[in-house]
Amino acid sequence: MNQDFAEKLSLIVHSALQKKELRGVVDVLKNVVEGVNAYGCVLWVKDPSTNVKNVSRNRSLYVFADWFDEGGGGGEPIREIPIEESANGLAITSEEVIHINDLQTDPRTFKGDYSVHSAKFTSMCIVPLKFDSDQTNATLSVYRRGEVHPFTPDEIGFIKQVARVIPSLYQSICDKVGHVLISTKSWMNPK
Amino acid sequence: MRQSRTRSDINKILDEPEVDIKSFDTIDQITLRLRKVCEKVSATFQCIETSLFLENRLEVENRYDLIATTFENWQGKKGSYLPFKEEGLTGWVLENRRPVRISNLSQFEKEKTNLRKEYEGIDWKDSFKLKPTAKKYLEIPKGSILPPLSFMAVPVTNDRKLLGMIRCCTARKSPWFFSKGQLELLKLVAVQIGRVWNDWLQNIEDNEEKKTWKNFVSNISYLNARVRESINKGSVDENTLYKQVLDLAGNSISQAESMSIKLTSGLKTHEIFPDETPNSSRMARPAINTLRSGKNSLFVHQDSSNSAVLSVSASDKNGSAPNRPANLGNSDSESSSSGGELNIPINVQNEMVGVINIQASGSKPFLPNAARIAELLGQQLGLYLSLWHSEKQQRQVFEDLWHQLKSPVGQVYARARSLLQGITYKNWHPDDLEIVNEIRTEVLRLRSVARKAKRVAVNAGVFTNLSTKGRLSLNSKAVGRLFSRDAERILTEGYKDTEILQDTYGIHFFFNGDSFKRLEEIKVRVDYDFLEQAVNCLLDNANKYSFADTAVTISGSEIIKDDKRYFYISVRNKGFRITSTEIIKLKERGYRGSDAKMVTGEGSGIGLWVVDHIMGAHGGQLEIIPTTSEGWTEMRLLFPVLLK
Repeated sequence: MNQDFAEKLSLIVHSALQKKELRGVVDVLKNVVEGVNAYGCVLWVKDPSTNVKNVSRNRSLYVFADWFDEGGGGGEPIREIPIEESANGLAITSEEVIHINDLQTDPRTFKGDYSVHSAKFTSMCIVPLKFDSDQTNATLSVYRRGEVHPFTPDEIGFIKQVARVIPSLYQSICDKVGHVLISTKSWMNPK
Repeated sequence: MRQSRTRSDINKILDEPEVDIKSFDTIDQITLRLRKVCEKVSATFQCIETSLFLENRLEVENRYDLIATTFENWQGKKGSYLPFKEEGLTGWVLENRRPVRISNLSQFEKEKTNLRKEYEGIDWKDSFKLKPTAKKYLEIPKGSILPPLSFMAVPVTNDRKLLGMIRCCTARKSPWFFSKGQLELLKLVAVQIGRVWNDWLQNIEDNEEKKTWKNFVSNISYLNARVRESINKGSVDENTLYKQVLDLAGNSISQAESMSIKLTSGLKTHEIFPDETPNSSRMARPAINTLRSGKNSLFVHQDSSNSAVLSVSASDKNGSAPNRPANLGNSDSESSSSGGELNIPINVQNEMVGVINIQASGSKPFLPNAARIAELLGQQLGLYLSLWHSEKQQRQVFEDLWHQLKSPVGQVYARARSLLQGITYKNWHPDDLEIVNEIRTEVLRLRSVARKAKRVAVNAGVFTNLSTKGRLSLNSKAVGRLFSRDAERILTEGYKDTEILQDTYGIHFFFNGDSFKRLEEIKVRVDYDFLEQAVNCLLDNANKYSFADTAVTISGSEIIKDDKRYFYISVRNKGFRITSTEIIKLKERGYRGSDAKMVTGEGSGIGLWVVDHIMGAHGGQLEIIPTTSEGWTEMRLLFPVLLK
């Protein structure tokens, strides 16, 4: 990873550690998008209330947090994709980074209305990760739209690094939020 | 200790130097603060709803009222609650006392099998109607995709006692799911809420208890004074006393809805109901009399029921109202089947004579001090009755003794007068044996009547002594060694006087003089007055309770009992049976008084009680041998044999 991306990563971490709201994780995604000049970023997770290792048929990945430039460009927001028929699902089951040159033509991708017609996603970088779990259960997906513009190895390396730290950053945000919550003076103060 | 620990914890959480839960006097004040907690939790977790359900044990047990919520549709909906057995996610949390976290409620049915591996038996019937309901609440157009609907709920406990639960639903924006970390945080919040809520309830209960005790002590002092006054005047109206006690129970136990006193004898039941309370109408009460007391109008009711079952029933733990839409019920329109009942025994001299029954209203449980207050009232009423009965008995005994004394004294006077007239005016010669015999017979009659008068007088003296001092002492001037001739004299005069004085229906006395010869060899010391008293009582009883044409035998003998040597005087007769269970009661005051009156028209019921005390004063015993299969009943006066 070159110096530029190392600095960006450092900024992301520094910024995340200042956050006092859960929403801070969305800012991390925004920073990723801006760092690689992409259109949007989604943190996909399997339903975290279940700790089942084997992925059964008809299971889905859900949006845990997302950020899209200009709010996502209209249309129904993306909420859920099938594990079996998506590159994100494949990244989880194979536990490998997947780089898609063009979502529209790659047979591994899920071609939902939003992805294909509303957002018109093209290039995509998917990094599997363990989020709030001891199993690989999530992906960090970065999307480009319009013209096909594959991610460079440095960009992929940067996204991989962010994906590696994002569970810890989120935990840190949660800890800070928790501290704020339980130390709030206005709770029971009769004044 | 517990309180200071809680206070310190609260201060730590709140980061405040001082937060005084005691300043929250009303539930509105505490709920306002808890609402702020919910708002804070909602803001932190970006929830659409955070709701807090807590058991207000001051009002209803095992029901979890909606104390605070951020969900607009439920705000201001007073009286909403969760029953303990609510079906659904929150019900599961209450029943299992475990937190639950479901990432996406819309996937509940699909994920149910997997969810049940972590949350055994969890179910949620509303999952089918979730989507349209959620869309309506979230104002999402038809056909649009729902965001993930996350849910987490945590039981609120304190010292292992379940107090309620807090739940959070659905994030407003991403991140959409509640994470494990958030659940842990909610648990921490629940712990603090549990402490604050418990502290507040405890404080209210403590204040209530202090007030109640203060009131109770003041009322009972007043009642004591009234009862003492009535007893001194000898005019205690028991109905008024029961009413006053029930009135006091009603004033002191705020949850009491109906109170009654059920007596095991006398076929009486006294019941008092606060007038015209909404729930009192469901109880049958054939009131015969209405009394006014304090601010309530009270009914005193009497019926023939005399059964009293001693039991204390707790509130119905499963008592719950039917489920309501959105898992909410409404306490305004439904009455719970919980409540409670206290049955407190009323004991008079170790014997249960009845119970005080106090029933709580349908929903309000008793405060912890209610049972103690009721228990004290039971003891107090027992004491009042005991004092009053004792006073009545004492008055009766003196009255009976007076009548018993009046009759022989009158007879002695009349007979002596008549004898003197005869001697003065009759023309008789001292050698005229017939007349001498007549005079002798008359003198013997005079002696027997005087002996009876003496016995009654001694009884009165002993009774007074025992009533005032509680014990009996021998008169040293009357104490001396018992020789056979003295025993023979006392016993012979005793049975002869009994024969002369009373209509003996063919009852024959047999005296075994030889059996007393042993008294020349052993040393027995007696109070002669008391010996005569005891002997006369036994002979009188033998005469009273023997069948016609039977024998009464009088003898003396020695016995070793519990390693002690005694000489005893035995009086045996054949008559009314005495069982082994009656033996102790026979020595009690007033046990056979009414029987005696039926037989002879007189009797104070203190005869054997006095004899027992006389024997006790001698270091001896009154021994009663139950009636044998041959029909013999025996009473023995056991005197200790002294060492030479």
